[in-house]
Amino acid sequence: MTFKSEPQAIPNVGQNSDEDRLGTSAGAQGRADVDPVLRAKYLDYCSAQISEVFLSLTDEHTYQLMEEAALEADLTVGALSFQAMMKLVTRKLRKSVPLPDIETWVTEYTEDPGRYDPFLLGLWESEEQDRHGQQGEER
Amino acid sequence: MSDTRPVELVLRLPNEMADSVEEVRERDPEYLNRVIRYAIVRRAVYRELQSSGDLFPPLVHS
Repeated sequence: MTFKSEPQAIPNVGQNSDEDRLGTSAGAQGRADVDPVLRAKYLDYCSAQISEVFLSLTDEHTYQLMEEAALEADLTVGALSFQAMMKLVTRKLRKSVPLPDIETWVTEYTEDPGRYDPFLLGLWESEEQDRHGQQGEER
Repeated sequence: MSDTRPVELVLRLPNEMADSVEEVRERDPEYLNRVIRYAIVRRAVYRELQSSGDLFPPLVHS
């Protein structure tokens, strides 16, 4: 399977706090008009590609990636939560696992959903339920 | 991430599927281990991709 464009590089990570070092970036501008469900399905698909690679790694290789990412973010591996470790490894793999850009993926998915649906776990549906649940608790 | 400990799960599934899960648990517990491991990794990766804003800007919910 080939895609028309290369994945984008991971943006620089802030240096002020652990959350900043692992947290959000501004991201690219100008793609906000994609349907939210398609965006979520695209993420679901990308998570499948990265997870396949992640689970194929040996423990030693995973730890090595984590150490490299932690060093780059000025963090200590031993003090990290599971979620933080997953963030670091995901970032490292994001640089090496080929992913389609969202425009290409949406075009291809719209033309032939059956090509990608088998990769989707419905994570986007769970996330929506979580989000609505949290909003309900906040009221 | 190599330290391990047992975890108990209680699932509510259709009867036929529950029977199948119990059968797999008896015959091939390592398979269920891999299934859960995959699901948890997949969810964590999804959340990181979603929050990083790397693939596209996060949605603004009203």
